[in-house]
Order: sequence, then structure tokens, then C-alpha cells
Amino acid sequence: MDNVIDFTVPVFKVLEKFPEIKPLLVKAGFKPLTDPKMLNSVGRLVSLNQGAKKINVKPNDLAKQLEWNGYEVKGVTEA
Amino acid sequence: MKKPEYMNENQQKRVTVLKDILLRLHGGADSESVQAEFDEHFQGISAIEISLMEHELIDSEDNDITFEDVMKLCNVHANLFKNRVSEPGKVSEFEKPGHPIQIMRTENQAMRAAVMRINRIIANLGELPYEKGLLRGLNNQLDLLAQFDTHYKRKEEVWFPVMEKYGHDAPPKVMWGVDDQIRELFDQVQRDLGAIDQVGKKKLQKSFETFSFEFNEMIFKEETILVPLVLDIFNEDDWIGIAKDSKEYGYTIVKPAEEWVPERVSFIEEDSDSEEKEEIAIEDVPRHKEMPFGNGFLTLNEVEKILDILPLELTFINKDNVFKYFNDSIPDEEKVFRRAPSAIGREVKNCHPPKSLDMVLGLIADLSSGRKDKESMWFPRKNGQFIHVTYAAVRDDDGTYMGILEYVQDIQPLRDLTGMKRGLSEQDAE
Repeated sequence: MDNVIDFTVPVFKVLEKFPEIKPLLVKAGFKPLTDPKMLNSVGRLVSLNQGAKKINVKPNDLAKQLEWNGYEVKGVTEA
Repeated sequence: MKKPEYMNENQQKRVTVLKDILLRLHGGADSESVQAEFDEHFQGISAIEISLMEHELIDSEDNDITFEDVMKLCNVHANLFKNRVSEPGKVSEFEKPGHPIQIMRTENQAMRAAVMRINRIIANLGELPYEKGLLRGLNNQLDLLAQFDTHYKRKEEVWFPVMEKYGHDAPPKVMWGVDDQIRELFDQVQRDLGAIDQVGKKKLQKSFETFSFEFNEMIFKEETILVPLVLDIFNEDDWIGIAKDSKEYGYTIVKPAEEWVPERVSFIEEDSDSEEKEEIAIEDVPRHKEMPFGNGFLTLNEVEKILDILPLELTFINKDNVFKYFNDSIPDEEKVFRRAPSAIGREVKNCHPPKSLDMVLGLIADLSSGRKDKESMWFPRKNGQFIHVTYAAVRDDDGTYMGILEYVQDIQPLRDLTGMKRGLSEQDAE
């Protein structure tokens, strides 16, 4: 078990591995994640990088939040 | 590693084998490659003994074996049970999502990951004034880890009573005591975090280190002692009860993705093609219709009442080893083998704890193959009963194996008979 969050895999996958970060993501702006239907459809297609772009959050800022929570991040796109 | 003198030759040999296996796991070998060797040497060895050996190997300086290697070995150990209970390659019940064992393991992993995150945050904390984001993260993660209390409660209040039922009083008592110490250590961590600006990072680091050492030890004990122990003594009914009660306590960090539903064979035929076949629904089976039975006739109602009067506990499993019927003539509190209606349709191997499973499967093999027609056992019970048990193969007219009938009788009243009685009693016998 590691604490690495990959920004290039679908959000759904990320949450499978770390269900506890859902509140963090929602707080960061990923509001649709609270809707199981959205999580199950869009969540399976969109990565953290792509999702962050859609809601106008810099992937780097999101990565910072996660790192403050002790996670390691990889695959974060610069923008 | 120096060999403690109290170990006999066999034990020392086992330590050597275990060390070798662990070193291979450490070197990257996958668990499948060591399975056969582990099974050969550790079949029937108690979980506590294995755990003690593992501990000594982790602690000793002359090798690189780590906690992680031992965790890998836990799967190997669990497989030893699995391979006795299910066919190779088939997923056994306790590996299915939502099974209490699976939940416990998933939570342990999630909690260990949380501990690692907290360590990482503390290491990154730097000097005063502390980064606000990191402190927020630290608070978040400690709140998350605080859910370990649910994990412990579920173990203490749902698992332990079942262990005690089987006479395993000591491990729960010891473990519960340590759980409480860990709770106190965690409270200290939270107090130190609350006052971090005054007490400083070092103090928090220290208290978290003390806590996480004991905390990881408990995870270790759960995986290496508790799980193997209960796998060996709990039967499926116990697990069903535990799974049900667990829901009321809730879960730690990870919610089970699905509910665990053990497999059952249904005897009520599905009425999918009812238009064509005109099947009789189970409630429409004529209970009072005369049917040819052996040398005469009986109605279904009569059959049921007769079977419930025979002074025997009757249990029938069919040719596929599925528990299909039990009668109801003996009051539950006097029964030697209590049966539950909810167990009807369950495979017989799931009704027994792995401990007695080898004997049961051997018996079924003997009776179904025709090597034996019958097997009997007898033993006294503490309540004064003297029990006689027979397992008889049930065969069709052409000899085809149909299943096994078990009949159990308290023969003490018969053994007590002396002299003779050839007349009628004055009143109903007791």
C-alpha cells in the first residue's frame, strides 16, 4: 500500500484506492463527485488533470492540497 | 539468530524454514511460489506459534526481514486454510468483498497508509511558524485515523463474543487491554496536535511515534494471530452473524463495496416456464393427498409428523453435499447438533469449522464412494446424555449415491434400563 495519487488515471480509480479523499476533492471544487451517477459516468473517463481543468483549478494547486495531506502525487500536468 | 533452548528440534527446523520463506518473499518472490513449502511445514501449527517465530525474525538483527514481508506471508498463511476449504483457483468465502475478514484487512491497509501519511506530514512540517496547509492536512488525517476506534469496537464487541463462545477467552482479553492503551496513546497525540504551537513539533513527533508503534503492532497481531485463529474456529453461521452485526458499528476509512452473501442452493424450483410446465407452487403441494410410500401410503403431512416424532436428530445432505433437511423432534437445548433453518441449502463444508473439516470430508468421501455404508460414534456429554451418532449413506435401488442421513440419539435412557416392563404405564411417561 503506497500513498501515491496518479493524476492521469480516472478519478473513479483514484477514489477506489483512496475513498477518503473524496471530501478533499469536493472541497477543491469537484462538486459533481457527490453524485454517484456522475462519479460512475464522467468519473470513469476523466482524470484529476482533466477534471481540474474543467473546473478551472490548477492541477498544481490540487496537488499541493493532497501533499499537505501526506499523499504523494505523480503525473501532474503543468499549467 | 540464536536458538532459544526451550525450542525442540522440530520447532527449530520450522524457524529455519520460515526464515528462508520470509527471506525469499523479501527478495521479491511472489507468495504462490512459497505456498507449497509453507503448507508442508505449517499445516496444523498454531497461529500463535507462527506469529511468535515471525516476530523473533523481524526483531533479530542478522536478517533483513521486515513487517511488510510478514504481511505478505499472512496471505500465504490464510491460503493454507483456503486450500482446505475450497477448490484451487476458486475464490473462497472469506476473500469475497464484504466478508468480515476482508473488511478487517482492507481497513488495516487503509489505516497503515494513513499512519504513513501522518509521518510524512510531520516530517515535512519544518519549523515554526508551521505551514497552515500542512496543519490542516495533519488535522484531516488524524480525524481520519481516529476512525480506528470503530475497527476496534467491531472486533471487541462482535468478534470477541464469538471467540469466547468457543472457549478462547485469553486472546480477546489481552487484545482488548492493548486496544485501550492504544486509544489512550492516540488521545495524547491529539492533545499534542491541539497544542502544537506551545509544545512543539518534537513532542507531537514523539507521541505519534509511540502511538504508531503500538498501533502497527496491533495490526500485526490481528493479521498474524487473530485472523488465522478465527478462520480455524468460526463457521459460516458465525460469519453471517458477524457480518450482520458489523453493519451497526460502521466501518473505518473504507466502506465495503458490497454486502457479502454466502452461496446457497435453492430447492424451490423457479416458475420461469410456468405456462408450459404447469409446475405446482410449493404452497400448493397437496399436504393431505395419499402418496405411495414404501410398502404403503402416507400423506406429506403424515411424513412430516412421523419424522418429527422419531426420537432422533435427523439431518440429511444430498448427493451434492448440500444440507437439505433436518427434523424437529428434540428440543433445541437438548440437541447435540443444533441446526438453523437459514443453513438449508448450504454446502456442508461451509457448516463446519476448518478444524473438523478434514474428518467430515473424509467421511463423505468414504460413504459416497461406497467404501463404507455407515459410520458410528458415541460419547458422553457433561449434561448426562450418552450420545450415539450414525452417518448412513442413502442409496437408490440401483445403488446410486443419494446423500447422507445423520441420526443422533441420546441412548442414556436406554442404557439405564434394567429388568423388564411389559405392562402399561399409569400416566404419560416423562
